[in-house]
Amino acid sequence: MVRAVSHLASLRLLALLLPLAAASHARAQDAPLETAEGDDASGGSSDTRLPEARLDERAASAEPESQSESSAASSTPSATDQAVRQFLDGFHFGSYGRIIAASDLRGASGHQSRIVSFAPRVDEEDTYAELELRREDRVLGVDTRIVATVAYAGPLFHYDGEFAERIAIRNLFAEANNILTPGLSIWGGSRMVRGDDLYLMNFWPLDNLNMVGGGLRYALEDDLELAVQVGMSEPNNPFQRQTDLVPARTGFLPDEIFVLDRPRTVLSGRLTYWPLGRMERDGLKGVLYGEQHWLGAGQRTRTDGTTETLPEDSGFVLGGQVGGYLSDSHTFANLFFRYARGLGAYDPLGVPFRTGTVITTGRAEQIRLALAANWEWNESPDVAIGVQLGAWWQLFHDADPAVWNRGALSEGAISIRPHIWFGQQAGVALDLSYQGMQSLALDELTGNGEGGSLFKLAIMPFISPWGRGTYTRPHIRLLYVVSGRDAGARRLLNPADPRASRDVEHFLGVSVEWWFSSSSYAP
Amino acid sequence: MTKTNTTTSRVASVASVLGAAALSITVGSCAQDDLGTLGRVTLSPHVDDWRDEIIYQLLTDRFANGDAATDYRVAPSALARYQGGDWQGIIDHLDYLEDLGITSIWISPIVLNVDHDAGFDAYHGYWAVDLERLNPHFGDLATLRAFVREAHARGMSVILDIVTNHLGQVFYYDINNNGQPDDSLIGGGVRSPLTRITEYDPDYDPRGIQAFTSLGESGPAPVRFFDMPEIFRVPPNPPLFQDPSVYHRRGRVTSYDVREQVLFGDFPGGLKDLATEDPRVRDEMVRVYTDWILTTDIDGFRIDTLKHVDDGFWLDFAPRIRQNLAAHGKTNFFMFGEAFDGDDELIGSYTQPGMLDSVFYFSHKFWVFSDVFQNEGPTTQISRLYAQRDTNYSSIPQEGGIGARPRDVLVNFMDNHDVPRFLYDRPDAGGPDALRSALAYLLTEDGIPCIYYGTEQDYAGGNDPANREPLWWSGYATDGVTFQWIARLTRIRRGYAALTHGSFDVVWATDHVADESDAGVVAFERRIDTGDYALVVINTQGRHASRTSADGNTMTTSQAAGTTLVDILSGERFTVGAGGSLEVEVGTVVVDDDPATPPRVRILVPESQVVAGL
Repeated sequence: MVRAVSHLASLRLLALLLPLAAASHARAQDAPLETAEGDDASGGSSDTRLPEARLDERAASAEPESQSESSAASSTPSATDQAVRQFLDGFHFGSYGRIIAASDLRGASGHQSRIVSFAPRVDEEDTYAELELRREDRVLGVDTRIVATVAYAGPLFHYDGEFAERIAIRNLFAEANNILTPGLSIWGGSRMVRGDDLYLMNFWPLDNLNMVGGGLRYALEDDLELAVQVGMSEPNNPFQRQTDLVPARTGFLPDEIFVLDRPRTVLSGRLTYWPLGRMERDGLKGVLYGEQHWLGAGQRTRTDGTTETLPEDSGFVLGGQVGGYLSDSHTFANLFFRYARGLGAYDPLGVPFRTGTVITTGRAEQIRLALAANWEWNESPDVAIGVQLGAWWQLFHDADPAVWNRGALSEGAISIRPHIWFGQQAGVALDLSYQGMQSLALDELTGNGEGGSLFKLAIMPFISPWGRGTYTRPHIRLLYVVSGRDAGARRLLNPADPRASRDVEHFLGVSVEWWFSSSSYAP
Repeated sequence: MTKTNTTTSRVASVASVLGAAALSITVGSCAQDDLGTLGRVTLSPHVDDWRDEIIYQLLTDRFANGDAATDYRVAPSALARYQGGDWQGIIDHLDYLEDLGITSIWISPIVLNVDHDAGFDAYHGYWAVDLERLNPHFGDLATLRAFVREAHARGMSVILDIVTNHLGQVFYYDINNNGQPDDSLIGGGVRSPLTRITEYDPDYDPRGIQAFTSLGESGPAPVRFFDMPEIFRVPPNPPLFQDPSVYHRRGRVTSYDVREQVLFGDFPGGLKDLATEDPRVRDEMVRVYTDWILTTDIDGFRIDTLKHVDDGFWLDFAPRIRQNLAAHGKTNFFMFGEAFDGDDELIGSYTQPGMLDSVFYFSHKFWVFSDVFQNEGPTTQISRLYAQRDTNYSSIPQEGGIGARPRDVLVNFMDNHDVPRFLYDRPDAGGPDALRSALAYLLTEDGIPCIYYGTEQDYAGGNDPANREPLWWSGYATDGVTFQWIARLTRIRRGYAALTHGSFDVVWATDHVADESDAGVVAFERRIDTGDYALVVINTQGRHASRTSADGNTMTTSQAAGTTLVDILSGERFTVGAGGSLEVEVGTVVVDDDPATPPRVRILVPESQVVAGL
């Protein structure tokens, strides 16, 4: 059984090391890949991985069983086992990043054309990178990880000359796998907790939490896994936190006290079921997901010194996902549904807006559908093709009793991105996308509802040094995007914005995107 | 439009419709209306005869707070700052207004203002900076429309306050040409006078504000627009108003007795005076305010600072607004203006043919409500003022206007947001009864009564901003004496056509203000040719009961001897004597259940015309 352990651990080793060591295209093609990014409005990050990556996860999670069995066998480690231990006992580095320099062909910098919450990302303009340091050990038969991920948002010093960047700690947690009982993992700290994404939109349609807390994950047999997390967040805004300076009890400098201090507590749970078994290369996956949000009552001080009471608040999220994957053809499809109510309709790091006179989020509601899919054909040494698809649509209305405002909207986007590889390391991708938004606010000049549509067409010749695959990175790209917006979309811009008077936008630039060996996204 | 754009637009339109439809399905359960209300509203007249209207003037920021999302930078209880009221609040309290008997709601200016200036906020709405955008403190277009729609559904009309004379403090005069607004002292104080110069709001100069330094003047001072987007203090919109030549640029009015200053000077507070004689300015004013009507279906304008605008503007503006609206099926659009002046002739001049339908009757406020009801002066003031009516006010309905003679639709009021409240000047114990007797006069005389918000709650604030109290301080109580008194009077006014459409004839007024038997009494008849009749008798002083007789003379009415008149307030009956004579006693208390005490106000109608239940 030692051999089994070695085999499974090797898969994980492969998952983590292969992108770094990939010298051969074939190996890179087979490597489990992870996308890691997170600069969306909610500070989200990505988990778009090929089915192989999930297989490797499964392999890793299956280790305890194997280990248990191995304990009854020889205690003398083989050479392969030694290699595993060396890998496990050490420091590791992983990263995600993207950098773009673009022009609008009018002499100005290129800007993303967007009118929806999660726009097709083909012309995203921001620089973002995560640098992950990780310590992994196996001690007393327990695998541990201590992960620190520093996120870094532009603009870069080389662009604006300012020796200052925006930095945030996105992950800072410790995790123990196979502890207490085989299949059980426990973590604590600060962590991005999320599932599958729509890569083309930089969007996690079902679950995307940034938590300070802890969680459990338990794998039952080969086809079921339950993960539960609880965390807190308290953004520094008057909805949750307010401090005040008061005369010092002793001495001279004033003391700072909390006037309002009510962190949001979020409990989330995710049940994943693989009907054909988690280990199968071709399989199905179903997910049930839920969140419960709580916010305690509190009081805050108004500007005139009077006190305002904020009542308790709560909300929930219910959702699900069904998907299937064919590992050999790198094909998958995931369909998501999410319903959120009250506090659950607002991101834990955001400020609930338009909450009405009751100052609660109770009436807020969100309904969301999303689809992510990928298909690849990779049978020829000369040519390969792949197609990515992402689409989502959501209805949202805020907590305000007044319905006819910007807090009530229907929006969505669809993007399809076909790729073709010429040989192993070069190719070209097209990206065609549509965004549509309709709110119930009325435009003051026309009297019509605010909303609009936006189309984009992009062409992206790229170099993929680590080989084929729509999710293989790095990519070094030349990028041209043309966007067309209708009158409604133009009116959504500030009239002083030059783009408000233009139907068409251009975006010509060079971009690079990479990811490798990041553990940010493993559940 | 190119073919590509056309295709894009078609696809976009389809997508928008689908999106909107999907949205309506989901949020429809809590929506106030369906999506069919989106887009331009269908205009229609909502008032048949403006003489039937009872106006309630409110300050949007002070009436009711219905939407916490618009409570940006509010400073509760600091009355010179935003308090949080909004259009949603008005929607939420339409029941309150309905209970009071209001039929028309006058709201604050709606357009975007310079938000903050010299420690004060633009909560009142008179500091416009963008005439095409709404003030977000009050809500958005959908809410404004919803308010107008809800009001119409209840049979109420909506009057919008507008300003054409000036914008907010959107620029400064760079007198010393240093590129920044200065507030400084000039001169040495010994050989040259020490003068305070403010580039925000310099004193009037008929040549236009001059630039100067210690070496002397150097020609017209440059005008520099502010750029403070955080408080909307930016170059104004429409873009025409970013052209200095459309302003008079002569500095602030320092003497209201100088007509030139009144017309061409900046309104105190640095509110920049527009050159309303410029056809470009007129065109823009007509365009933007026509658009607001088309966008919201409001029913009338109350127009600010009439006397600061040249007459030619009104002769152009008012007819063009009427013509524009007629083309869209909106008739009976009511336009009345404010000339803050006791000069009855001046006020009346704005009702001459081609101008406005009516005016805010300031001379009446001073002559009647201040002199007679607050200060208990001779009631002959009432008849003397009324005697000027046909001389000073037009008796010809405006062409394309509301169909009523301006002289018949003057907007009467006892106080408003620019003067102390009635009770502020009557802090004594008799104040509330004086107020109620004045209300009785307001709601029974000819013209259109206008009640300033808070009057029904016995608010007693002094000058601005103390007279702009949040109404929520009252808890919106509807059981107060004054509230119930107004509610009853409005029911009576609506129930008796003579009180709205009848002629107005003073049948008893007196110079007596002391112990005389008729001291403080005023009596007037309202009659219609159809026979509808009402006789109103009020004791304007609260020191002793009075009667409609003195020095051996008795009031003579138009009614035949033997006619039985019923006081619909008390139920008492009176029989007209020979020659129409009638002696009526009125007491000192307006609302009193003691039958032995004569009421201070009587409304007498022929027995056959009594309407039960009012």
